[in-house]
Amino acid sequence: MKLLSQVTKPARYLGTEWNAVHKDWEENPARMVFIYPDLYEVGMSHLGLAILYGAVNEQPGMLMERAFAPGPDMEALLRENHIPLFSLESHRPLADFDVIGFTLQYEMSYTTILNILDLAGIPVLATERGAGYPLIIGGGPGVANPEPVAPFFDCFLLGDGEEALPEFLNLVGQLKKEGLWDHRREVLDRIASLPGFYVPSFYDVTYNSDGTVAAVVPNRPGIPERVSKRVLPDLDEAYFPTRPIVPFLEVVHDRIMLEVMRGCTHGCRFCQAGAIYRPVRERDLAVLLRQAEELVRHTGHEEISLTSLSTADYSRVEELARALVAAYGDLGVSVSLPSLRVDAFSVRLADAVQQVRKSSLTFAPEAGSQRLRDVINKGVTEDDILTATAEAFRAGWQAIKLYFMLGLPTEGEEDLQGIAGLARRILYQGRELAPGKKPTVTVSVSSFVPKAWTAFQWEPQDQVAVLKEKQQLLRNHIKGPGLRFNWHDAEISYIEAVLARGDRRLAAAIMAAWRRGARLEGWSEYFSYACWERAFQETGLDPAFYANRERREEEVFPWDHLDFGVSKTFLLRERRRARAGQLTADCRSGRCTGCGVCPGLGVDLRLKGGPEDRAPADKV
Amino acid sequence: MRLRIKYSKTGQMAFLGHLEMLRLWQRAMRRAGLPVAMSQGFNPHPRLAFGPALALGLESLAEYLDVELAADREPDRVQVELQAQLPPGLEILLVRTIPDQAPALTAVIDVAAYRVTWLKEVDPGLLQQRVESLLARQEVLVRRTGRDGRPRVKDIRPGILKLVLDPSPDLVMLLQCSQAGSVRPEEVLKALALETPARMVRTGLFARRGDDLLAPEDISG
Repeated sequence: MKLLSQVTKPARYLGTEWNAVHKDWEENPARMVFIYPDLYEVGMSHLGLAILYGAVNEQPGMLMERAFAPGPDMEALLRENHIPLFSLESHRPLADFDVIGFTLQYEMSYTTILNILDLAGIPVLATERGAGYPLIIGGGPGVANPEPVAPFFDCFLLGDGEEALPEFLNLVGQLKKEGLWDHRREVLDRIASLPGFYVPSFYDVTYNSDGTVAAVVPNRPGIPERVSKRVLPDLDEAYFPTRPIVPFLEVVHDRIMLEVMRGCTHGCRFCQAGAIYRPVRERDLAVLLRQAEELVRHTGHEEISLTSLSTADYSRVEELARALVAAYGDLGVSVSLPSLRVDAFSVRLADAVQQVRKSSLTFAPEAGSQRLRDVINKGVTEDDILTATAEAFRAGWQAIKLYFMLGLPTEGEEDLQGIAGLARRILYQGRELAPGKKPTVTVSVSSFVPKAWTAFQWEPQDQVAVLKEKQQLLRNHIKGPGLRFNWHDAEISYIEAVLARGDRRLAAAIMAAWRRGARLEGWSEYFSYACWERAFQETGLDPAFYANRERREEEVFPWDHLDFGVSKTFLLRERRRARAGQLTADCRSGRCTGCGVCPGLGVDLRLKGGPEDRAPADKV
Repeated sequence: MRLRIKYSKTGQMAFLGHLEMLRLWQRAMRRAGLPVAMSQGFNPHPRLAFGPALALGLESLAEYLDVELAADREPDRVQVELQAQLPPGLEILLVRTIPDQAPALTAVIDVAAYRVTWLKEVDPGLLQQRVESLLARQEVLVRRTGRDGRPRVKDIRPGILKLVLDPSPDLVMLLQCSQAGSVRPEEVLKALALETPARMVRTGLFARRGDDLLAPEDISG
């Protein structure tokens, strides 16, 4: 309490928000703290936290509390006063818990994870943690390739956690009861036998003379050669929290998140989420309406966001959106669609739910020319884009935001000019159609980061200097009244690319960067490229080897012993089709693309559109 | 109909700022099913209005909030239903109907009372002496940062209405707290040159009517 009066935003550390769960410590022997390795405002916007927090706390015998990265002022106070980092609910030191779980949302949070362990007084390397220390587990999309952080973790959970995590904590409770908890090897043995759980220390990595991975193989009997992700076949049967924590502070996404479906069928070739969350599983409309009613009643939030990777694809999105507007509009509850397709339907949908405050509408064409959009399988034409933006201007929006990626495979100068050209055409269109005739077009560019489990996992990333040249070229072409240009730090994308496809050796560089002060690197004001340059020098690791090298088709990847369902053969085929500029259809259309997920994991696409629901896997 | 709510804000709740309180009450009212009236216009928002803002970290035994309802509700029932939706540390002390035309809280409130209790022992004689010498001064200048970020100097002496030890060594302060200007309790402590750590609580908000102090719940015109 004393510290709280000395920090900015003390409400970050209270833990008594509405719907926070304070379970009895003695009655619940399996205790876990869930950590989002970023500031409270970011972490509390994460739907996964809300889901797992509810799923675990509704089970007897186990409890889950929360912790986040402290702000720099709180970190200084903790270190000064030798106070270990604590959980929010019971304000207990993290080391008091049996399990510490981190969600790996973003490569740039890795140094923050080490910093949090250190603030908790826990050795960062798994090999240095004997009995008595908590078990450190990781989950989330970063587990697509957890190898660079493998030495810091005891285990990882691949895929959906609603069922897997309570199962795991059940096992923890059992092992504690049996008095086995302090026998770390046996504990890990038992964990490794649960489906979806990967214990990295049970696998040995060997390397070729050129530095590439030769093989990743189990080093003890009974350990699977490949660990498959967990997948919930039917989201209607899955747990979903209808009493999520209502933060005191304004957080990044301060609203009800109604998850309408999981997965995305578009098949954009750069997109990792689209690959690792397959197959698409929609929730039933009736289930969603019931959940929305409970969520409004239990939270009092003023906005419902229809959450998914591509909400406009949800089979009954229009019905759902209209029903919610009709039911809650009078209570001052609005509906929002965070992810829109680039088409007129999406704009009409946004218009239908957003009767007031038309601030800006965002589209992501990703690439500036049709050729390059075909390479990435975006499935969007310039006509689609212009029709959508025209619709938006007519409906009353004044500002259009466009997202693009620089450095996509095969990108040339025409593609970059295409970005500027498209922005101009949209601006001219706005000058004819926008109500106030003072439209603005904002172009935001990020840099392409090749990721594991995508068709582009073999591709090199452009060198930082090249990315900067491309940014400069666009900056010169996108200026003038009504045009705005934003870009992401190329160095951050570079480090992200190094870590995204890295192997276990990179753990040394992550440690070195953290020791030099790297943390909270998702915030550009805290990111320091110099920390990383020194870290690579110190450890003798070559970042270009990981980021800028084209990988051989037959190369063994550091994540090949993990199985997210998508087959490597399919990805390779997609890579070749990309090079040939060939589109691959959306599997929603009924044509199976043969990605291997449904047969491999024994699941199916679940669409909830009524009688036309299909099961394309049958046609394989 | 318009309701005036008096509540206390203690314990951890002292760490919630004005915007956080606004959000918290809006959401509690929605959970309680209170038919809060919405403003008209481009970006409708619930019609809530608070009294003067309380500094972050201070507790208060007398905070006020007006809310406009789109349908009539029994104030006692509102108190019970709304209380059930509030976190520990926020306690509704009363709910009263006020006329639709009653002036806003910030327009009528111009005095705030604070009680200071010392966390370390203080010499009551010395304290008395300091209080008397402060009250004897013609002006008490403090430094503040203006809205433009530039420092400025302000005389807070006219805004110090009363300083008494009651019961000694507790210090009770009555300070100006209005749209025209406010004296911050920590400025008074600083002017008393007391380094002793203290706990400060806002104990009341009032409207001055001549020599009388009226509570906001008793004002109807």
